[in-house]
Amino acid sequence: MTDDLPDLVRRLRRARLTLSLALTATVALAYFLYIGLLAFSPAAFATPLRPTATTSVGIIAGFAMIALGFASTIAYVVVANARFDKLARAVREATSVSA
Amino acid sequence: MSVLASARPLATLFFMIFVGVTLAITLLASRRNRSKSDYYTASSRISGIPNGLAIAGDYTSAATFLGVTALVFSTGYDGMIYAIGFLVGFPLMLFLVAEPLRNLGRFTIGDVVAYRLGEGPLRVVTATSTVVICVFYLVAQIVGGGKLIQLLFGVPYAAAVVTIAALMLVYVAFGGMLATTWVQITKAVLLLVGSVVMATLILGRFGFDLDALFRAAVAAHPKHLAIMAPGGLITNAISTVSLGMALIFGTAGLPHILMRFFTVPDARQARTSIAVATGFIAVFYSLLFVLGFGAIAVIGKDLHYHTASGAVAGGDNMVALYLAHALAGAPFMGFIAAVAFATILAVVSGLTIAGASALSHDLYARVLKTGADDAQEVRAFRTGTVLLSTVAVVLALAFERQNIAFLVGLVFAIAASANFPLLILTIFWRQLTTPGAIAGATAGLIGAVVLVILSPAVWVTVFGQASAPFPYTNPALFSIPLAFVVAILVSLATRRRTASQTSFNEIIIRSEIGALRTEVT
Repeated sequence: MTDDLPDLVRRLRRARLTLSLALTATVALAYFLYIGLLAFSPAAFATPLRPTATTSVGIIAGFAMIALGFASTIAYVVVANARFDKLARAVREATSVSA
Repeated sequence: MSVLASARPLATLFFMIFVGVTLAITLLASRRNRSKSDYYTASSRISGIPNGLAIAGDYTSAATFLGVTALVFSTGYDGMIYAIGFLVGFPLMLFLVAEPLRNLGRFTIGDVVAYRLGEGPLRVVTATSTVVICVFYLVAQIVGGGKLIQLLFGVPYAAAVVTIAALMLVYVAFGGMLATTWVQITKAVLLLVGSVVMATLILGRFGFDLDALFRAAVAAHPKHLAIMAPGGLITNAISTVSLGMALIFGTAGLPHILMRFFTVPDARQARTSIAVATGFIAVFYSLLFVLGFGAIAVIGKDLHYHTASGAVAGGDNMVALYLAHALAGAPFMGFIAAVAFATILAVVSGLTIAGASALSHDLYARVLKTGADDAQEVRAFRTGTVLLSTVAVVLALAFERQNIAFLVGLVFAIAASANFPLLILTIFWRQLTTPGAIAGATAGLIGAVVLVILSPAVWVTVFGQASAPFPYTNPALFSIPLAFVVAILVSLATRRRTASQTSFNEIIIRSEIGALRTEVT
């Protein structure tokens, strides 16, 4: 479908889509797993972290979910800053479309 | 009420300082604002870090600050479920829409869609969903804010509502996006400072041992150990998943958040914005969780803050303020009260600027009066601001005594069902046609509104019927797929008759590199 696209654009598009979709899938799966566990087995979340602790597994799961959201954001930004901007610049120079 | 009265003088002083500073910002900004792009997007000159703080400012409303703290206070763990849903939308927005949006649009989401597809009818559709979202969200914020200010500052409800609307009108109509951005940043920093101080004071009381805090909370709460696990909020699996979908996909369809991708110069700054906003929100919601549990442990059994029947004096929204009082006395409570007021003002300003831009840029300049010049469009933008403020005040006065808890869920459901599918298909799906886009977005909008009306929150709570035809709390699980299916079917049925305005390859190139973006004139 994208036959008439310049090769560089196709590479950039594929690289970005791969990363975007992989990270989207990771975060969405983790989130719906979290929600699913909440809905279908709330008892698992009530278990104390250690026998003597008040902190429950659910609290840790919640903070882990927040941490995953932030970590995946940083991962995207690091990769995009390192790779995509360089590729995009190359495309701009190759196609000589001025900004 | 003596607790409230003791904090009032300082709350008023702090609030006056905030208003003075923000009006000075507005005056400075109004001297620099000339063209429509100054008003809509501060001419895309805001860099990533301040823009990220402004996004965080747009997103963290007084309703979440006071509401999530109150929810944790009354239910414990359940408050966290909301906090996580609000956060997870941000990474998804970054991965899927942030950069293409920055590269394809100029002022509104209507620009993005109309660049690829037909101008007129699609502008009407995107402007309608934007204005509906902004008005409902404004009403929710202003009603909640009006009641809070009535209580905190001892002024009549109507005066509180008019004060909020008047300040927001001045910020937006004269200061445009530049002033609104700095109001957001000021508020975001104040809110974070207030929360960090409160959380530190709480943790300090428990030797910086989170488990000790939880132990004290469990001992003080009537539900005891049940507060450490999910409870009453999770009554129905389908409702839970549906609400989750509305929260995470709705964020990527909220016009006042999406508009913030047009205020930065390029995709790299858009990325930085989201990273800053996500970090801010992750920290802020984690702190709210500490505040909520801290409130249980510190004021849960303190009779100063409760009525004779055991309820929180003045309502659950007061929990965060009483906590400030218990931790550091009346001056600190006054500061937090002023921060809550600042938060209301900042959020309603962001909503108004998004709604007014859709009215003046999409409806006025592209449909009603094509070829309007810059000055006419700026005038239309100001008229739109006045119009939105007036409508919001009238509705806020009318809904003073209504239970409008359903409005925020409705806003997220519309954003997730009308805007999100439209943007995703515009950016990623080659076969999308103009009729398909119109039909899909309209189906999402109408589907979300109708299902919310038929849900218990409106059908039972507002209309007083015995049971609701649509039994779930949020329609997103049904209305999002509806929008996608309608858009796809209509696009496939009409693909031979309608050629896209711009070739999809051009969309791909532009969304990747943004090089074809016309420079601001």
